[in-house]
Amino acid sequence: MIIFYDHLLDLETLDQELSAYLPDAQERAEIVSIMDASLHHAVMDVIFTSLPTDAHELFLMQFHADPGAPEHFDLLRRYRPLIEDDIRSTAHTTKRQFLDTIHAD
Amino acid sequence: MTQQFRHIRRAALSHHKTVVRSFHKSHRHARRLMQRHQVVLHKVRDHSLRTAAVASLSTGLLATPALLAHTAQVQAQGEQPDIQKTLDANSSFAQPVVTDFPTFGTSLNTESKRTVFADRINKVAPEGTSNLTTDQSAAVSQVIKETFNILATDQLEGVKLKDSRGIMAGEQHLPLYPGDKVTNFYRNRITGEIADPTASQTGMVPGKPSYMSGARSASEVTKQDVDREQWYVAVQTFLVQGFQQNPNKFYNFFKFRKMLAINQKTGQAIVVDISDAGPSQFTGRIFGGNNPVLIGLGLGEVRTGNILMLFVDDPNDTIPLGPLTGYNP
Repeated sequence: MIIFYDHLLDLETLDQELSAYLPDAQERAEIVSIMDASLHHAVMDVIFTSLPTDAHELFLMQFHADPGAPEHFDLLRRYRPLIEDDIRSTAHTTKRQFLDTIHAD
Repeated sequence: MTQQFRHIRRAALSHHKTVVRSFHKSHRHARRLMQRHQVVLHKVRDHSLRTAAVASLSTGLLATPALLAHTAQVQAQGEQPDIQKTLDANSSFAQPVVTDFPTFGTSLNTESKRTVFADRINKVAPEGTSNLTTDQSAAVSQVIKETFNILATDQLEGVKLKDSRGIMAGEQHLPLYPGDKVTNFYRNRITGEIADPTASQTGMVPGKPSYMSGARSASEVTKQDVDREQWYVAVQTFLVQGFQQNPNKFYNFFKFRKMLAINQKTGQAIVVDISDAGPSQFTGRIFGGNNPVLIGLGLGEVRTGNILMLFVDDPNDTIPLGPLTGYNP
């Protein structure tokens, strides 16, 4: 796993939805990459909101040391037992907001 | 490059800016923390790959075929300059910041390591009796994590002591069962090692402590009972915000709660547990400590001193009570 919450982002669906607008795989990949960066910020927002402020720096240190370690969830669940649901939901909302702007145009 | 692609890319970048702005608006300290630890969120995937490669781990689990393709494209051509520029401009990270602390070799003896630990703690939170600020608390937790690989904070599960620093004074021993004797505390009842040679002078609490072991006789005393009593502290649980409204909740939260007591003067640190409530406010003291705790903190002679007290996050109960000796480095 590259990032410990990757399985909650569901970037494949985004890629599929984009294919309706962008048949070129490289172009889609570039858009997915930008969205990926957005999702990291959105997820970090969820994480920072769930953790007490005192634990933010410690989490960042551990995350930076090994971004793929599933053990990060141990710390997060301590403060927010359903953190995975929150991340999944936020990722979905973030992707939806972006796709809605495309649909609207 | 199609018109459609340019339009969608513009929309994606605009959306990205909004998300980043929202994150930093909600967590204003995030940028500083990320700079300090060189965390770049939009490059975290690349960073993870490098980390995994360094660790000789498998790199075959990229998130999506699309990202694989993009990674290949970036490697082959370099990322589109305008996208990189936009992402960088909105990054949580501006430029590398050298960490505050030097790294030390591993050849230091324990006393030197203690001194290094004390220096590091005092650098981020100068010794005193005032509570830690949010920044100090985070920095102290970081130093402890790096030194002992323990997560210790001044707030756990939304509970924070009224004072996390203050004067600790000696407490009497706690009976482990009805009819226990003070002479039983000379030696550890399980290991037979000398535990408190001055137990007679220290004395034993005449009544029941706040948190009593379940033993009804000497034969029922367990190692856990002995350890908890040996390394017990008293904290002012009754002064915690919300205690009066829900004393039962806090009673259960504090019962045998693991804490980390640190003498900032010497760098001595002990994982202790809360077995009693106190001292009373009128005493001017903030914490009480059993004699072995005072000795372990370097306060055996004077029996009083300034202590930093933090919660230990140990949900699986894997951290043993007692002095921490494995200073790293």
